[in-house]
Amino acid sequence: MTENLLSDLNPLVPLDRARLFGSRDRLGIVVSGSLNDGLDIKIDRDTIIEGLAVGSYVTIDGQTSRRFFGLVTDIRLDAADANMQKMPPILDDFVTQIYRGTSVYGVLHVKPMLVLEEGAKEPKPIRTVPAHFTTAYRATPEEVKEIFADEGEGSYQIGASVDDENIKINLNLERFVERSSAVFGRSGTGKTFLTLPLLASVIKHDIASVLIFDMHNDYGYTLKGDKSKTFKGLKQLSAIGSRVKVVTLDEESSLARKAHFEYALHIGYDQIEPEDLEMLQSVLSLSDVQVNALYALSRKFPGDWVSKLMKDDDDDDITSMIEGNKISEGTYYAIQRKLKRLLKFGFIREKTTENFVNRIVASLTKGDNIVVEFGRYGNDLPAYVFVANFITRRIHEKYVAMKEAAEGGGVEPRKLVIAVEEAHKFLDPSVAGLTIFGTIARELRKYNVTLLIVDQRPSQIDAEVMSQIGTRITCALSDEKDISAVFTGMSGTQQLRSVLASLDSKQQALIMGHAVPMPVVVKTKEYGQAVYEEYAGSATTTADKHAINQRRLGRADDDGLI
Amino acid sequence: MIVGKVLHANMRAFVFGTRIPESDVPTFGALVRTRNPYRQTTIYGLIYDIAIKDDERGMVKLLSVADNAREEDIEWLRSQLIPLEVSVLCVGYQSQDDQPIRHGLPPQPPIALHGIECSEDAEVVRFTEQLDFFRLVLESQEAPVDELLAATIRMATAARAQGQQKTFALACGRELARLLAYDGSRLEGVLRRLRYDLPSMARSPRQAAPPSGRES
Repeated sequence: MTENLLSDLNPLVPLDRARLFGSRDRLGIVVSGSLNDGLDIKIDRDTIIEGLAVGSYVTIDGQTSRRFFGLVTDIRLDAADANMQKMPPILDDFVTQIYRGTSVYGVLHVKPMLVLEEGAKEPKPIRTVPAHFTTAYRATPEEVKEIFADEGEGSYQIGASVDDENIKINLNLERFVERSSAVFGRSGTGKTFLTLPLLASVIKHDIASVLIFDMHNDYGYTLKGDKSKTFKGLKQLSAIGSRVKVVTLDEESSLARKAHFEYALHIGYDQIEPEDLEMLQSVLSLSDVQVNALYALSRKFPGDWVSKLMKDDDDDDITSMIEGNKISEGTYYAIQRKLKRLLKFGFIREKTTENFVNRIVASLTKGDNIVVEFGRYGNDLPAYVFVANFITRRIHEKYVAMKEAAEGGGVEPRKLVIAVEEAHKFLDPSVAGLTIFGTIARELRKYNVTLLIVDQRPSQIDAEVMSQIGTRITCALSDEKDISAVFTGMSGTQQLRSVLASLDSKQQALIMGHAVPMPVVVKTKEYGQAVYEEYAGSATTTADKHAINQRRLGRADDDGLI
Repeated sequence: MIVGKVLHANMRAFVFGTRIPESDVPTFGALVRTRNPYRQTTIYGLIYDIAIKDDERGMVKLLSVADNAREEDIEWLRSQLIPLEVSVLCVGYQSQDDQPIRHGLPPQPPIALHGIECSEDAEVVRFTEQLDFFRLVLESQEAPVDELLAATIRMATAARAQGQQKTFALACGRELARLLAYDGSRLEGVLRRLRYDLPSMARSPRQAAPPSGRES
């Protein structure tokens, strides 16, 4: 019975036949190609083409004992005689069997990625191609495991291979936070459900501090799923909850949602600098003249320029400025009108009890993680852009200062990942030069700060910024422009377009870049009970707690109590 | 059994004459062999033409237009020594009896008046274990190549046991597909002839058994 089931004649043999037999599943031979454009593999006659899929792995035995690994990027039907397509022969079973594999055949297009030298433990990036007529096999589960085997400290199992549920795909978190990363996907493809456990893992492994600008109030306390189902936010995952602080901009909304928060974030007039508003130039449609006037005002009245500007009554100082032709009256009132639109937000106050942003920066440098909930302001673009920029600019200043101090012998600033949704609002080519996010994406890696961009329109992000993104996790995208944008700044990846285009609309993602040895399509882990259990139990061991407390107190490791 | 003797020969082909009863005359596409005794070489060929010639006196021509030719005269003429001329394409040879059969042109052509024998089924099977002679046939200028290949494949298939026939026919078809890869319409013509000759193998794809192969 088993013999019949596994017979070559049975077209429905189980997927893991190769595993059962311990043999390799031959696909075909290399017939042409190049390193840049990928290899063409002529499929053997008895390989059933329907059983192959874009995104699966292929092993090619080289002439020597090298093994090459590649990713199937396209599957094509070809004919030796072009007329065959125009005038297909009259077919029956016999003739069909003759034609298949001889006159007409399938071609696998494979992008070679890695090479494993004999005796080497780790595969290396490929710099050559296997010779003509070398044999290609379907990569065995063991081989795929070998490539993605990184199960050490700081690896995160993001999901399983689409080919085989048993092959777990791991992401190297150290490398993931080393450079800016991105999660792309159109709305409803599970970007948040993918990002949340990923960040939870960064926090759990204590690899970096995390600051999340939580536009839709998903990360902090509860995550809203389909059909009004709710999931636990970061704060509710008990193993890391104590290290996550939720800060809200909208107390009323947080209280109504019964979302616990640490403190409400207020921004005082005196803390606002003209640079904070300059970034909003396009959002508030400020002209260049108006922006210059802001700088003039802040130079003239440092500290209280915003309060003066917001006053409804005429201020003597301002009047004298206008009369002295330092600033035109029209400009002044235009600024006032436009800024009032922004400064009406509840979280912007004339006076605040303390500088909350400094508190956020201090927590981050001590190893805590912050979720900034926007409440109802999440839907208000100027509010979101303003706050995210406002906080990030100060973090930038602080980290640059700390890094400089570290060069002079001080403490190295702790790694920080800033997760930002709707990132194209900050990284649009027209504003990327102005906003602090553009700067971070370009250069702040040196200062231990990286971005995690979560976005549905990669095409709207500045190409220069895109080129700096190390790891790209891409869920399904439908717009052609977005699909092309994902590959900008990554050489030789154009062929993966077809892989990306074939992703399921849920729970599948193409991961490529710095944190994985080669591009991989994963079926992402389901966020739910199984993940909760990983984060069950109290924070950490006593030793870990000790380390965390030490850090909070700002002590170096070797500082004793006395 | 000697079926005829070599009339004339060159490297690529030879012609033999025969006068045996019609039922025993080898047919188009059959494999025959002769020897070159000086080199101990057995030469194999495929029959690609059978010609009936008039006798030198022109009797056949006369009788064919006579208004009232008598049956006895026709019978008498048929009993005369008028040979059939059978043309054979050289496709292989065996230099010594213990050597394997090679598909290619023999080192020397057959010699005149040496006997021709028909190959038995076992020898046909042995000769067609390899299919390299297809190329020699395809290159021939004189023979009706496509028909010849179809006929030879049909005979070689019939010479095999029932269970091996389909595998062999498929292998032949695939070899042809390889050799005629760049001429799809010609290939189709040959395969169509082959299909008429082997009706048991032609079934519509819907009724066909699943093709042999591997699912992923």
